[in-house]
Amino acid sequence: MKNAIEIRHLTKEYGSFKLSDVTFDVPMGTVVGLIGENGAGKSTTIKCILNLVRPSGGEIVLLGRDSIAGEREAKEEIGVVLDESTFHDTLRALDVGKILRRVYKNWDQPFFEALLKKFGLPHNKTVKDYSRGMKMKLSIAAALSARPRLLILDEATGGLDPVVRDELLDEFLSFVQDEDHAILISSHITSDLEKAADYVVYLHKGAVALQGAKDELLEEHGRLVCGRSDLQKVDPAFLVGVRENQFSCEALVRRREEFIRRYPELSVESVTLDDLMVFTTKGEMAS
Amino acid sequence: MTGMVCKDFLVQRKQLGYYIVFFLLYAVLAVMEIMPIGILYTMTLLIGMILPMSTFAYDDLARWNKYAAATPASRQGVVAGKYVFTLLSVLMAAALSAVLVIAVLAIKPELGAVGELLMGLAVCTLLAILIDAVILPLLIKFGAEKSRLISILLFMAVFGGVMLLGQLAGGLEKLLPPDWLLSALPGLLALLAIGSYGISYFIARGIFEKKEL
Repeated sequence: MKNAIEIRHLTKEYGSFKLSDVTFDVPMGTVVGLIGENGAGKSTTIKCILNLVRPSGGEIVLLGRDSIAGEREAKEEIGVVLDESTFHDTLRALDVGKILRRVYKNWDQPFFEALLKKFGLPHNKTVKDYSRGMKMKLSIAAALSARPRLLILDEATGGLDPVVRDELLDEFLSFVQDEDHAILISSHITSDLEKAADYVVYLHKGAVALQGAKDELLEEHGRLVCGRSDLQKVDPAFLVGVRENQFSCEALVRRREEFIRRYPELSVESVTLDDLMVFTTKGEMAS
Repeated sequence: MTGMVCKDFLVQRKQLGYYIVFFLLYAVLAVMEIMPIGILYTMTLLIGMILPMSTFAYDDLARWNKYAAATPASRQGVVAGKYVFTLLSVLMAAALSAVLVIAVLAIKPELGAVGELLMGLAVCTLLAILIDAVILPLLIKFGAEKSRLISILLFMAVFGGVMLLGQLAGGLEKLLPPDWLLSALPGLLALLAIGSYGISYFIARGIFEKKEL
């Protein structure tokens, strides 16, 4: 199997918000980062994949099965972490195991207990007494113990301190070492995805604004800082987005190598995923 | 589905423990003739009404249904789990109540006839199942918070309606059905409760299938 997830022309309408014609793949053996500002449609896309909301149109294939007709079989092989802990405050970590071993056919209880130990999650405390980081670790331990082939993580690292985030990202990277595994992770903390993602899908106002291999996207784009007169000399075809202030201009340029060859006098810096997002969102005056 | 039932028992274990203590306490009070023995089977009815609302309130708070529907349990398992848990709770409460009624009567036989009291318990159990058949789809559609209000309004309307009919007929006793119907009432109630519970499950499943989580 080549792709863990295949999404074609996905649309979903909610009153004023519309997810329109979203198409992308999550290849096996990779981490795909779904980025975008709040309200861009990341969670809606994930909800459509998991059949938590009904798409208005389009097709989703999960691990080779139609996401609706083959829902139950596909979900046996998917571990899910949602943006907040969904375990009841009165439960203890081992209770979660008691419940989920009756839900997932491949549930691995020894592995779950090993993860609880590794993540330092006490057995005698209830979820209510866990910190946000501990709750998220419990959710991730639960998702991994289902022995899935695909992990779907919706803002799983949001609100966590950098140490915990780093620990969890290492766990994800270790999971995806297996070529038969894949991860779709949505986040607006782009630094996490710069570390973990192989591919990036950038959603803006419900549509895919940019997608591709992360390293290629970062290499292909550059950040130009120059005066207004210099900017006027630049061929607009190079410009993705421009931000101007009283003293200087900043622009996101595409085809960075070609741009440097053509305008050697202008200085172009490397970009981050944040730059790609900010210029696409706020620098829309460019072509 | 079994995972969902297990979850409800684990989440409610503290409350279930309290209910058992209440049952035992009421049994003692019944032996001491401080409370009527009928309180034991009224508890079954009460548990049947309170427990489903309580489990939905906990689920809403944890946003559990969204997670559960994303697992292989799926939406169908979530609904089936709720119906099985509710039925099991009512039947367990009825069984405990029956044991305590028999125990109380063994100590104080003058408190009533076993057959009569167990018939009262059976009627309360069936009423609890009938009430659950009404409130479970409401809980699935509207969540615990709104359903509580809707259920109260619904039962006020039903009981208010009966009282009003009684007044219009010149007294509730005039609304009593004929003897043959009265004797067939437990059987009819059993059919109504079981049939309604089954129909209610399919309605709830339909509601939850369409619900956006």
